[in-house]
Amino acid sequence: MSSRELATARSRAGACTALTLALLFSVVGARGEGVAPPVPASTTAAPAALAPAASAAASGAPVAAAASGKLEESPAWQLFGTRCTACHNIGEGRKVGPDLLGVTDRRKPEWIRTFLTSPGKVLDSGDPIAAQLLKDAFGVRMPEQDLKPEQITQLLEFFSLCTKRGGCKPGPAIKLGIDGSEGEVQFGRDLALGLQRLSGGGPACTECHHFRGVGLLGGGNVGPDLTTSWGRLHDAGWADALLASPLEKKVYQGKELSDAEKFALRAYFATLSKDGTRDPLGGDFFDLGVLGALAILGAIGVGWSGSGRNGEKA
Amino acid sequence: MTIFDVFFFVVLPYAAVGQIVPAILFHRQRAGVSSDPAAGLALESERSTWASRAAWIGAVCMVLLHVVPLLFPGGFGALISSPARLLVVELVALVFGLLFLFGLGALLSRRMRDQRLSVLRSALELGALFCLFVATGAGVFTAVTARWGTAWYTHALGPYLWSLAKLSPDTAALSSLPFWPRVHLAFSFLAMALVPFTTLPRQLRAPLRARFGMKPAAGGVR
Repeated sequence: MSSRELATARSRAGACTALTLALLFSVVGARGEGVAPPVPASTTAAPAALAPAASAAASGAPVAAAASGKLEESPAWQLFGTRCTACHNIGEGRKVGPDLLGVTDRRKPEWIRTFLTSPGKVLDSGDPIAAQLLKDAFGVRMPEQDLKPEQITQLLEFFSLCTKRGGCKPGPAIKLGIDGSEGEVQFGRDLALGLQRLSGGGPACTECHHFRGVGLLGGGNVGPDLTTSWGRLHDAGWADALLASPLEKKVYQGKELSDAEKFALRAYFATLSKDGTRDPLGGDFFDLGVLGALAILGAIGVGWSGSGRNGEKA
Repeated sequence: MTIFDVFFFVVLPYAAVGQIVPAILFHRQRAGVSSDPAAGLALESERSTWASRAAWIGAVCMVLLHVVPLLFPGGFGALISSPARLLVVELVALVFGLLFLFGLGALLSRRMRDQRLSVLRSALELGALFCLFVATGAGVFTAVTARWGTAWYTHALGPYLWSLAKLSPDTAALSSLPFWPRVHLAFSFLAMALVPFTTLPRQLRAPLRARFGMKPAAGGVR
């Protein structure tokens, strides 16, 4: 598969994932049951930022550390903070998905376990609770999280402990792109479009990528369409993927982005992801080139042929 | 990096540059086709054609558009950092790339069809023209399908070419490039290696002479 086909495939996959993501959130809905939420974790590997929590969870590290007052240090705390807080609170009210305070009291553990294992399957099975959750979330489905059984066990214990506490507020590992201010989003837009140069002197996103809002003939297509990139990768994944390809590493060597620039870009693409609509990649570029070449050929014929060497005609 | 990468993007560039001195000796000592009266007449007949003029204009612009970003990456990078300016540069590059492609195609076609040019149909002449044609075609295709070429040429290929110049080849950026830019690069190096041995440099110079009424060199081709 060529890189272009790959980019196209990625874009399509991104669109599907974004859709799934959106739908997915709704599933968790209603009275706070549902379950865990999401980071559009697709079926790929978890973002590096999640690795510690995920691996710890996979190894069966007891969340019970929480019981001894170290809930904040448990793998489940990190897991929830990184992958679930975009859509769920515990004790602070509803977000896209339901508040999960007391979810272990409202729902049977097996139901939660089944739902977390594959929200999509439960939703598609016609489960009445899941259907209500979806309705409450305005049709936004919770994405598949690819959680391991150990991680689900830890999350269940985590929900239970947080309920006893009256709530938890696991902070995300990084500031979320969707929390960017208007100024930061605007700054990110200017950087992405090249309206403002990156401090390190590196090329703007649009020189290799297309995304909604580029205008005119569109952005580059050496890299994938970034319109829904944040929706596919979420914050941690997006931060990891930023300039991570071999070509990008080479191009931006010695031209590193500042932290403010990185966040502004993340905030801008998070904003773009809210509406997955894409601009078509401009298609008039070649036609314009042909017209220009024909015009010059005509000019050669008119302006040059009559004045050749010794009046020689072409 | 595969063995092909090593050959096309490390060995071949040095071989192409290394050909320049032998090429000069080749023309001075063997004289070859350049002193052949028939070849002289053949080249004379091509001087004022649209094809050679288009090829000449296209070649000059293409060389400029490849050399300037190489020599002034910072300034050129700043120039194309604005979407509007990038589009203008890309369009100019595409227009002249198409012009060069048209010129080369016409030259190649004429040499194949015209009996008076049979003396210019040596394997070397046709091979060099073919390599140049493929390199240009791949470049145009790249410009259209892997845009924006001026951006990644400036930021990715420029450092690679400089690494060659510094005798410390770094092909890391090439491995991530799509197929056609790599074809463009490989055939460009092949053409660089072959063209100095052919009449093409004179061919491309001819329209200038025709335009400004310069007398042809002795033998009508030098």
